[in-house]
Amino acid sequence: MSQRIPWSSHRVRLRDAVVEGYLVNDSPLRVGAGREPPLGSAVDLAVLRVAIGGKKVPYIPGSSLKGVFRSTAMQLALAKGLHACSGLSGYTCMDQEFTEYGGSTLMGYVQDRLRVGDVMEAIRAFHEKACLLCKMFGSPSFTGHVVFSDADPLDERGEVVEVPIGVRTGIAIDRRTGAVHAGALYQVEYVEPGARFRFTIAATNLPNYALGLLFKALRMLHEGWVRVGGFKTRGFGRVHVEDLRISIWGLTVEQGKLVAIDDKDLEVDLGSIARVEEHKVVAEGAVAWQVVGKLEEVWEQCSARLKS
Amino acid sequence: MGAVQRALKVLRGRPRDRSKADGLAGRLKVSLRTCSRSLGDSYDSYLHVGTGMLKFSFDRSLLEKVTGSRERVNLESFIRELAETMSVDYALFSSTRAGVVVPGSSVKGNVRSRLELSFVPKGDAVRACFVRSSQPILEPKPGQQGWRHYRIWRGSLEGHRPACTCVEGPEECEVCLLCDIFGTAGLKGLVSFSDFVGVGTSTVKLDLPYNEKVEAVPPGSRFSGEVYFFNLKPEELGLILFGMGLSDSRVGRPVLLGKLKYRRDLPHIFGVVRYELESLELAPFSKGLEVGSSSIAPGSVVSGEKLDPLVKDLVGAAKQAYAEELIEVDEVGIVGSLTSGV
Ligand SMILES: [Zn+2]
Ligand SMILES: [Zn+2]
Ligand SMILES: [Zn+2]
Repeated sequence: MSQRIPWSSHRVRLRDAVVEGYLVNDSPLRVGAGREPPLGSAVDLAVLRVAIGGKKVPYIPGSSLKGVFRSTAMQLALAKGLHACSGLSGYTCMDQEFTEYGGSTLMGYVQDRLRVGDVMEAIRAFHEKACLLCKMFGSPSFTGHVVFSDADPLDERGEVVEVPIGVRTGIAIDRRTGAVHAGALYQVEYVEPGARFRFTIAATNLPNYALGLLFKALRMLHEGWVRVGGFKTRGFGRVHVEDLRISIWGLTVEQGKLVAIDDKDLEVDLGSIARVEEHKVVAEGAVAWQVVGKLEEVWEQCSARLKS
Repeated sequence: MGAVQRALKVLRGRPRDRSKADGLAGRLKVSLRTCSRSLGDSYDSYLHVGTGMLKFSFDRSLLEKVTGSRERVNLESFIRELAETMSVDYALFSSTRAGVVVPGSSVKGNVRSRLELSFVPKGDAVRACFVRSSQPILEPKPGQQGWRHYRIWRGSLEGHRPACTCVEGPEECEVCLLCDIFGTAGLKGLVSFSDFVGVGTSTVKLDLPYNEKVEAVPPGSRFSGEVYFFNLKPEELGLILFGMGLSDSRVGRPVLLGKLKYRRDLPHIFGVVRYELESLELAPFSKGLEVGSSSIAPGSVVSGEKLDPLVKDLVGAAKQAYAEELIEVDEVGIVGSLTSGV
């Protein structure tokens, strides 16, 4: 089928995957409003709070998690020699100019095609020219296929859990006197270690290698290679994942097998490890981590083929 | 005054690209312990790393007495009375719910300032700025503020070394080597230091002369943490280790950290610690590490005695790359030899 609709289009629904669990912080965690202030500005920084059930509690916005996953996935893709953009506005695949499109940007070309009603060409052009990350996480004027919900301090029953907050004062040593430099550098509020934030990541249509890339980013977060929120260079934002649960279902899930979604993809059989229903695979706890590992392998195997 | 005013050129360049992995990335597991004779050190040392805040206790009823009274005389007598009854609480050791911690920012500051001070001028140029400093000073006399610090680091305290900034953005600014690695205003650092969390550590309360009260950890206390690095060259990773006092093996020489570290007039010695490298792990997206006889692949871990030659090679690479610019200073030995003054 030459006109087969590629997975990056929202016109087909090939599969759904949901990743749920808790992010538990091992170090102080600060998710604040706005950007981290420059060194040297003495400001009081409060953690971001949201009202849930009448209480104002700290949380981790889905947009922060998305940022962490995208930048991690980008490093992993770049390390494999793939083309990958940061998604920062002005520097995405959509902003790239192509001679074959008369010097127009990908965005301009796609919009032109849509204007004249050539939807299939618009879809084809985006699928061919945009990087894997833009297809997964989105790009200006293109909704991605991975959605991160806010991670809230909720327990198993969905009730709000009290989150202890600490305050840390930053001081510096004067290089000339060896004494404390006058004035505090900052005073910052943080979430005390041990808080649990329930998260959900929902993905549609991702090929097995793309699920593998997403899962590899999840493992890197779990293992501390990447951290969440502000003050990262002072060790804040180390989290690990608990009670991981993965479910994958849809047309491209058959008796525990995740079939290959495009010609670069590889089929994965999860039948021997996960709980299998006809068109659904479910894995929890240690088994979920085995599923993560299986799909990470697919990413490793496919990444060389994705280069072209 | 000539020496103090000496004009120095801080060597600066464009900060490297932070947006993509290009170099060594990984993490060091590091422990920190206070020196102890029972562990073979020549000192028994306590450590105090505070919260930066002081707590006072006073008589609450005095406060109630003064509310409502607008007369100046009353206020003055109130303050006098309050001062008499007020006492300073023990300066608490920094902690989180995970227990006592040496904050990542304190460890980072300790390593960074040691590196800044270890870079001495070569000719009229110097490799590192002082990111936090007051104006150059003449050598303080014994007993004056900062005199011990001056004696230890006099080799690098001459001349102006103004801080680099990058507020105009990484495409516009120029920074010194250490600002590139550790960050400065407007520029994210390439190294991150976690909190160093106490391992089975408990604190003791110490009453020091002049009514100074501190909560401290005793000799032999251990803390453990992680140092993450990104886009470094082997000699720069070696610099980080050098900044922790490591040189020939995974165990560093005694160095100074925290409050009261220069004091030798107290009943206890404070702040003599050793850093020890527990492991070095390269991230999956790192370049492979090739230095001296060592070769480490991305995604792999080195620990135990295999670290000894690796530390030697890495620090050796730093000493070679910055030959005649890096001095190795025995802070603990020098402070021990200075006996007069306070
Ligand atoms: Zn879709
Ligand atoms: Zn892109
Ligand atoms: Zn600098």
